[in-house]
Amino acid sequence: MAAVSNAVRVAMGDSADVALAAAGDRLAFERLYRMHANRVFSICARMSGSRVKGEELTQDVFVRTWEKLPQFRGESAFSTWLHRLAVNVVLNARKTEGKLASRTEQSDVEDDRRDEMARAPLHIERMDLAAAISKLPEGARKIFVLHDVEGYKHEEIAEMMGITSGGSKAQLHRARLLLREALER
Amino acid sequence: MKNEMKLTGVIVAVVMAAAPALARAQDERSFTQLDTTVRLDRGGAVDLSLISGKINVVGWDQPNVRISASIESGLLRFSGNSSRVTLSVDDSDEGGRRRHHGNVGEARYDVSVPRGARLILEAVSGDVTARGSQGEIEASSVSGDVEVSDGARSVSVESVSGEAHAAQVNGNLRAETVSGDLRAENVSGNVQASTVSGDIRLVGIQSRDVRTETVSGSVSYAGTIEPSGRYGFESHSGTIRLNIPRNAGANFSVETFSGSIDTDFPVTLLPGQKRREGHMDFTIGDGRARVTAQTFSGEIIISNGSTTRREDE
Amino acid sequence: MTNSNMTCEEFDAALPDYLEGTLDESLRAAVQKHLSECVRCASLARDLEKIRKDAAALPDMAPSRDLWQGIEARIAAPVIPLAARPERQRRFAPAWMGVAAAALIVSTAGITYVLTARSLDRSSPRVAVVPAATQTRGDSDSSTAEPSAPQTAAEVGKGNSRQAPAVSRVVKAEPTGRDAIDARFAAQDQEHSEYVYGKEIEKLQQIMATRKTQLDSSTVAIIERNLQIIDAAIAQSKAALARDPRSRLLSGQLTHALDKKVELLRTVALLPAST
Repeated sequence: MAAVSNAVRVAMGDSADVALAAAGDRLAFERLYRMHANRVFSICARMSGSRVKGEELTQDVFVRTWEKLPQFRGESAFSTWLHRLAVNVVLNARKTEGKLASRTEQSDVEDDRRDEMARAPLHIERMDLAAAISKLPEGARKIFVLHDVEGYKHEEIAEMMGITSGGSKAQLHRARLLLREALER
Repeated sequence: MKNEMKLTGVIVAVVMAAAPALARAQDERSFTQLDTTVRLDRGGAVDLSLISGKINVVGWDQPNVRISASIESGLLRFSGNSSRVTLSVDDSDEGGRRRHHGNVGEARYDVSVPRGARLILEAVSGDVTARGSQGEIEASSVSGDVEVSDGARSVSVESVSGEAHAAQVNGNLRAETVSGDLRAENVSGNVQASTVSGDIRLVGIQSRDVRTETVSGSVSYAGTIEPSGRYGFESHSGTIRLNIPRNAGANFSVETFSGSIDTDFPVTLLPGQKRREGHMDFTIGDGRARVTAQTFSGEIIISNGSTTRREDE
Repeated sequence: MTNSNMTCEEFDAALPDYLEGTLDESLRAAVQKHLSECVRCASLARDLEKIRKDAAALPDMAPSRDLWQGIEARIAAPVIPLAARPERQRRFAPAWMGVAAAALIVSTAGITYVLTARSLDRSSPRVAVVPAATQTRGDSDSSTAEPSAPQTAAEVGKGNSRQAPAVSRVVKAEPTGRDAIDARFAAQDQEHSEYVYGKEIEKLQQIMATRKTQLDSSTVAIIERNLQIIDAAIAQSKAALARDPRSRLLSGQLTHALDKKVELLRTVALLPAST
C-alpha cells in the first residue's frame, strides 16, 4: 500500500495527540493534520480526479475529523478511522460544478461534453498511471482508487458506495482495462 | 407454574424465585450475581438499567423473564411481579447516601423476555442490545451503543456519542444521538431521526412520515415513497442523499443556501416557474407525496431508484 | 471439469476473479493452462497485474499549498448568545432526574412559544409574539408537560407561573408598502425570538455548568464539540439572514439550529450521571 514506510512513524506519534485534540487542543490537532495531510490529500485528489478538488476535500475531511474526533474510540488505528472518514466525505461531496444539476436535456449534453474533455487522451506522450487514473470515468475511478490504490475490499467498497460487490468487481475490472488502454498509447 | 414474586424495593445480593440465585465473593473482587425467572403477563414491562457494562435482551416464546446478571463491584437491585420486572444498579451505600459511580463496576445483564414485553433499557457508558422482543422499546445510553431489532408499535433509541441502530421495527421509530451515527432499517411506521453531527442512514423504510434533522451529519434515505406520505430532510452542512423509487409519485421542494442540488429526475418547469438559485420544485408521478429537503451548505443528491446510479457512464 | 481448453472469452470472464485470487481450484488450473498457451491473454493478465501493483505502490501526493489556515478558520468556535423555541420535550424522562433537572423542566417546559412570523396573515395588524406561560394542551390540567414525564407534571404546574418570562409586545402595523412591512416584522421577530431564546439558553447553560462534573470527560468533550458545531451553524445562518432577512429558508435554518441547541442543552441536563 502507499506510504507504508510512514505507517510506523505515524502510529507511534498519534495516540497522545488524538486524545488531546479530541479534548479540544487545536495545536495537537494541527500536528495530526501535518502528520496525515498528504495521505488524506492523496485519497481525495485521486478519487475526485483533480488536485484542486482534492485540496478542497482535504479541508472538508479535517473539519469533519475535528467534529467527530471525540467519538473515536480507538477500536482501530486512528489512521484507519481517518481514511474511512475521508472516503465518506469524498463520496458525499458535491458532484457538479454548478449549483443545480438535473437531467434536463440541456445539462445532459453539457455534462457529457465536460466529461469527454476531461477524458481526452494525450496523444503526444505516454501517460503515466497517476494521470491515467484521473482520466477514468467517475465511478470506475473511485472504485479503482479504493481497491487498488487504497486496498479496500469489494465488500467494504460496496457498503460505502451503496452498490453490490459484484458491481464493484465489474467496475474495477473496467477501470483496469481502461487504464491498460490509456497506458499503451 | 404460576410464579408470583413480589419482591419490591429490596436490595438484593441473593435472590430467590423459581431458580436458585447466587451471591458469590470471588478472590479479590466481590461479584454479585443474579439468576432468576419471573413470569410476566403479556405486555408487561422489563426495566433494566446499569452504569457501565452491557445489557443484552432477547425475546423468546416463554411467558417468563429470565435474568442472568452479574456486577463486578456494587450491588444489583431487583424487583419483579407479574406486570413489571426491574433490575438496576444499587447506587446508595449502607447509609443511604448516593454512591459514587466510580465505585460501581461493570455489570452484565443477559435477559430473555416474552414476546410483546415492553422494554425500558438504560445505560450510561454501557452498550444496550435487544432482539426479538416484538414489543415497545425505549433504549438509551450516553456513550455506549444502542442496537435494537424486532420491535413493535413504538421504538426509541438514543445515545449521545454511541451509535444507535434499529432494525425490523413494526411501528414508529424515534432515534436520536448527538455525535453517534444513526441507522434504521426496515421500519414500517413513522420515523423521526435526529443528530447533531452523527450520520443518519435510513434503509428499507416504508413509512408515510419521515423526518430527519442533523446539523453536520449526512443523511441518506432509501425507502418507499407512499402516496400522500410526507418526508422531510434537513441539515445545515451535511449531505442529504435520497434514493427515490423510480415509480414514486411526489412533489419535491428542495432548497439550499450555498450547497448544490443534483438530481436524476428531469425537472420540467411549468409555465411561469423560474429556476431559482439553490431551489428546485418539481413533481414526479402523481405528485401525491411531499418530499422536502433543506440545507444551508450541504449537498442534496436525489437519485432515482437504482442502487446502480454510481455504476454510471 | 471438462477436458477442452478454455477459450479467450471464458478467460476474460474468469480474469477478474483470477486476479482477486478467488477462483476455485479447477477454474484456476484452467486459467493457468490457458495463460501458458495464449499470448493475448497472457499479456492482458500481466498488464492488469502490473497496473494493480503499480497502483498499490503509488506514493503519497502533497497538496500545492498548506491547507491548515482554511481548516483552522472553519473549526474556530464562534460565540453565539441565542436560544431556540423550547417546544419539544424529551419524551424520555429517566428515573434518575434530579432536582436540577426538575427545575429545568419547570423553566423551559412551562413556556410555549407561538412564533407568528410565518403563520400570521400579513395583511392584518400585527400582534405580539406572546409567551403562553400556562398553555394547556389537550385536556390535561397540569401544564405543558407531556404525558411521558409524569413525575414532574405536578412540579411543572406549581412552578409555572413564576417562571414565565414576562415578555410581550404589541406592535401595530404601519403600512408603508407590504415589502417594507414584511422586512421590518421579519427583523423584529428575529430580535424578539432571540431575546426569549437567549434567556432559555442562559438557564440551560447554567444547569450544564453544574452537570459537567457529573459526566465523564469524553462525553463532556463531545457535547462541547457539538455545541460548537451548532454555534457555527447558528452564526452562519444569522450572517446570511442579515443579508437577506426575508429568506424563509434561512430563518427556518436558524430556527432549527437554535432548536437543536436547546435540545442539546436539555439532553445534557437530563443525562444520567456517570460519576
